[in-house]
Amino acid sequence: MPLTTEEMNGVLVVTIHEKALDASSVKQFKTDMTPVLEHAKLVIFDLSQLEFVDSSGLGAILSCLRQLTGKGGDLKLCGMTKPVRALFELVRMHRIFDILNTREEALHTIRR
Amino acid sequence: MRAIVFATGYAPALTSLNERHDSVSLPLLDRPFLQHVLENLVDQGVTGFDFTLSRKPEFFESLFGTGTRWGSSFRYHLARDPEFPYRAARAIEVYFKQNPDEPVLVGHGDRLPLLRLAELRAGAGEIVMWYEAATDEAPKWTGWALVPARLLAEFPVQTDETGLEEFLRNQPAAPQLQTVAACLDFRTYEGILKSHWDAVAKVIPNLLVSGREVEPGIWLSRNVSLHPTAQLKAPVYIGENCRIEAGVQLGPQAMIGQNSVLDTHCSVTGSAVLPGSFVGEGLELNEVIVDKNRLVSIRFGVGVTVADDFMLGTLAQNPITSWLQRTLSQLTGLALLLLSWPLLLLTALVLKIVRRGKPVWYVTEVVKLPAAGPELDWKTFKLVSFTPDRRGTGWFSDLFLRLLPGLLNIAKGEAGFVGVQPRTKEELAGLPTDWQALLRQSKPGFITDCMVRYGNHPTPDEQFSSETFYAASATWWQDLRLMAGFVGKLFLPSLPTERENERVSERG
Repeated sequence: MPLTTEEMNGVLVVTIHEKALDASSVKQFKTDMTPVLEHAKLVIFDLSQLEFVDSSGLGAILSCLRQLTGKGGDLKLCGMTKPVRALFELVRMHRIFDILNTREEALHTIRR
Repeated sequence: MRAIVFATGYAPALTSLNERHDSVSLPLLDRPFLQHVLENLVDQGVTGFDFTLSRKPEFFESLFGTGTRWGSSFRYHLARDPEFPYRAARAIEVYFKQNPDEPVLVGHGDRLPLLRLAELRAGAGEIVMWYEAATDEAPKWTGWALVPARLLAEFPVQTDETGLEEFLRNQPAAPQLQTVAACLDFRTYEGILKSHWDAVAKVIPNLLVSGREVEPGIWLSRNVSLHPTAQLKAPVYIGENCRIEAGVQLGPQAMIGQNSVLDTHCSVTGSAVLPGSFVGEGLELNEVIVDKNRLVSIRFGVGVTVADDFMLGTLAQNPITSWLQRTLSQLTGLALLLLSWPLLLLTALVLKIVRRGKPVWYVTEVVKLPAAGPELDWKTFKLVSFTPDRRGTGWFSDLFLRLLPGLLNIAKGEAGFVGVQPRTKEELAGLPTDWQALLRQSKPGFITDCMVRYGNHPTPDEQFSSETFYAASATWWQDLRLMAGFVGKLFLPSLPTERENERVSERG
């Protein structure tokens, strides 16, 4: 899965360059995220290019959050497109994740 | 000027109504309370809004949109915890970096004080806090203040409204305290009713209300069918498309929400009937709030669900598609049961021999979904199975031990082929609130999204994400796909689940 990572003031911003995070792509996403999560503690997922997420995608992002919070880190999500944001709100994932509108908001609020 | 509105709907005093509404989405006369707040502020010259939402944010995002309807611009922020929403202020502060001394209106969406922004005189960087006029108690903060934008970055995070008030009052430059003549307050049942009578009495000027005042204090909206023998005593508000039958007595102080029906000779005094409710013949409502079949007594602060439809009920109709889907599932279940009963008997016989004295049938009392109201009101049904495991045991054993006897439940319309895992009352009540709320709107089934994706031993996170996803977005097409996935596993057991895929890659 095409992912790019940028380090900004000690925070790793991961951009997912994929339109869908579903059963067909989630395995690759998890594989690609494994080394990223091993080294980073503060992570922001920029989901601005993602247009569809299914339950496997939700589960995969949730698993990233568990791994990061398990070692005292933090994960924030930002830049969601309307359909993805609507899904996160419908399944009440906004009560689990910090969802910010923009990367700037996320960088501004992530605890360092 | 921009306004930051904390509208998370946190109102612990409204627990009896919390299932369908929260303090900001409850209607004041004809529209959600938050919409009145927004329209009032737009009327006073506020040009942009930052809403912080938590409970059902999708409702307001879709209702308000981008704000162009009001000639305004809206941004939405999400609070994880509705009780502590002020973390969002730190994110909002990003937008004021260029002008940190810009005055920003900050307030809570469940209150609408009579602010007179045009008359406000505040110096640069000054804080203004609005208080309700003191009666016998100390003055109460209305939850609204004007602050310089730079202060947003310092808003306390893990604090409630009292903490925010303290924070603002303890700023080095003492805030200017102003008193308002009136404040509509939707945090308590008493406040909700009082706000209605204040709104009808035009205590807050320029409040937008559909309908017109046909006599002093008597408001009628369009398409109201009012029987000539009905008696109305002001203040009374009747919303759109209501039917008021013969001999009904309304008022003083009666609010009837849109699309409601009041049957003959009932009376409503000092009460609000929320939209889409039915009030039965001869019923006397005094100091209550009625929300469909839920009745909340203001005096005692408790709510009860009325089971008898002829007394109180809902007028909302189920969409025909869901009825068709349910009937089709029932008929298919019945047809399959008729076709497969020899197989069912044979399986029971084989299990009787193999299990040697152990039970063949397991009957578990599980919750019938959808389930509304508090736990006491949940209905149950007896789930029949050849195994005590309700999650899934393996593809073929699922078919023979769970789905085959479950055809009885499917034919009776108690469960579907596809759905969420059936749960007992205790299991459902023990789930986290959001998970439970979503499942309670869903339907139980034998083939689950979780089982098809992750097999029979999902992690709690996998189960949570797949069940909430299914509950929130299930369609007949998705059901068909899951059924196809299940059948595929039966005949092509070599097809790995996502979980098996991961195990393979981990080993690799």
